[in-house]
Amino acid sequence: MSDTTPSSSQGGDPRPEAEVPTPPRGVRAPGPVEPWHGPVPPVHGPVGGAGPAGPQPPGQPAGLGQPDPYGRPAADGVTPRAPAPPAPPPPQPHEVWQRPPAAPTPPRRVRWSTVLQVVALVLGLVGTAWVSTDYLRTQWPLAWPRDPVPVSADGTATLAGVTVSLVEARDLGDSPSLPGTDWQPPAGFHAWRVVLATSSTNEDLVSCDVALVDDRDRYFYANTFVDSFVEGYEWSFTCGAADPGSDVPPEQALLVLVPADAEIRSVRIWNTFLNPDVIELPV
Amino acid sequence: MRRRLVVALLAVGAVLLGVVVNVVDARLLPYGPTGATGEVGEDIGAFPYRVHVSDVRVAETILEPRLFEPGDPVASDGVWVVVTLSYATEDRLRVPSSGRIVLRAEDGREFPVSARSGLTTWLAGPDTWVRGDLAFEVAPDAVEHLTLVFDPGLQIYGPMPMPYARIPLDLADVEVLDAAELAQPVELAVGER
Repeated sequence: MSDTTPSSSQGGDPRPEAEVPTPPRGVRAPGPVEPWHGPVPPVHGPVGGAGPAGPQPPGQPAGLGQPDPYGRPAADGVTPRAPAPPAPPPPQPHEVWQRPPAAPTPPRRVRWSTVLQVVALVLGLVGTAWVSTDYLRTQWPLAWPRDPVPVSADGTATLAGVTVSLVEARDLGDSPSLPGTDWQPPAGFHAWRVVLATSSTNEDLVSCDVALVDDRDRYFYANTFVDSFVEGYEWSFTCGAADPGSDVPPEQALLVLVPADAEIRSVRIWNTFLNPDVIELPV
Repeated sequence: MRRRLVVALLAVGAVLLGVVVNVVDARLLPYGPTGATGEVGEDIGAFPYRVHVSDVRVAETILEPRLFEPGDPVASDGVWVVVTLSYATEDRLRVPSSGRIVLRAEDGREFPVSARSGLTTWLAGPDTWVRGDLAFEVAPDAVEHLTLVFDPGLQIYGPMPMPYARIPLDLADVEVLDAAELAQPVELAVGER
């Protein structure tokens, strides 16, 4: 390798990568860059590494013989002059220019400002996400019932002191004979009779919602779009602890309006105060 | 030189990222308010509802709905526009907010469901259509070009579509009645609107 390395890339330049020498005029650039097989300059040492003269002789203070980067006079009052870089040899007609070896990089320092910026960025993102997801973390899990409680082998399920079992879920057809009313389902609908056996110790609840759920996850609510005063049927489903004088029967019958094409799969019983837990009894 | 290369690469990366985001965004479902325009006499989806407008009347007064006797007439400084519509849901029992059902004029004015009509929105179930009347008090100069906007007002948190229905009402040549009687909501048979 020739010593065409400029002095600016060897010492004193804090941005050695800012200037990459170009081949002199008349010298063609090489193809692929060959790896540097020359002597590796020492990494530790005076600023800028060893100059063309090589490492400092022993006993000589560091930096002696090199120009002060701030232009301060030397101890003897004479400003040292930088040694003139060796003049590059004149290009030969067939000489191939070689990329000079990379200057030794100074040891990396921990940039605490960068670390602080990264930490602040992460904290800002986490904080913003925490605030913006407040609804999802607090309200959304309670927005609707979706976690069915286990059903025992005898078909009963207990939630918050309310024990329910399905006694009957029967399709009454499109023209049921209901006592005490002449109400009939609209064309294309059927009436369903749902009977639930209930015992409750929960004094905070009064009534619960009941719906038949089909294979398309459609909810058909009990006591909606039907006659509310059919003999033998309740107009709401009582799931709270019964008062001593209450006339709520242990088995409550409910009427549900369901499209004729619905494939009923289960009965769901829930209350907003019990979300997200729900009782789901298979039909 | 290396820094310039890094800056150039970052710029190229930013452009490529924008292109990729646009391509992905175009392939995703639209999110935010998404209007579906329909016509009187056809079903229009506005998830989780489906809406059907079957009749529109314009009158000087309306008669409040009563069960066993004619209701009292209610006049207006403008005109009454009575929309007969039915809707059903796709999943469960719901009732739309009456404040989100408006008649929008051509110039952007919106006329909500009148609180003086004695009627408001009603319950509907999955594939259980219920038909009723909604009465709007409208400025006379806005009657010709009205659009019914049915916005379910579904609160969705996240990049999800929030569809609403727009149904233009052609009232240019409609006869202005002296009085229009309002009807109570009624459950409909399958296929009926």
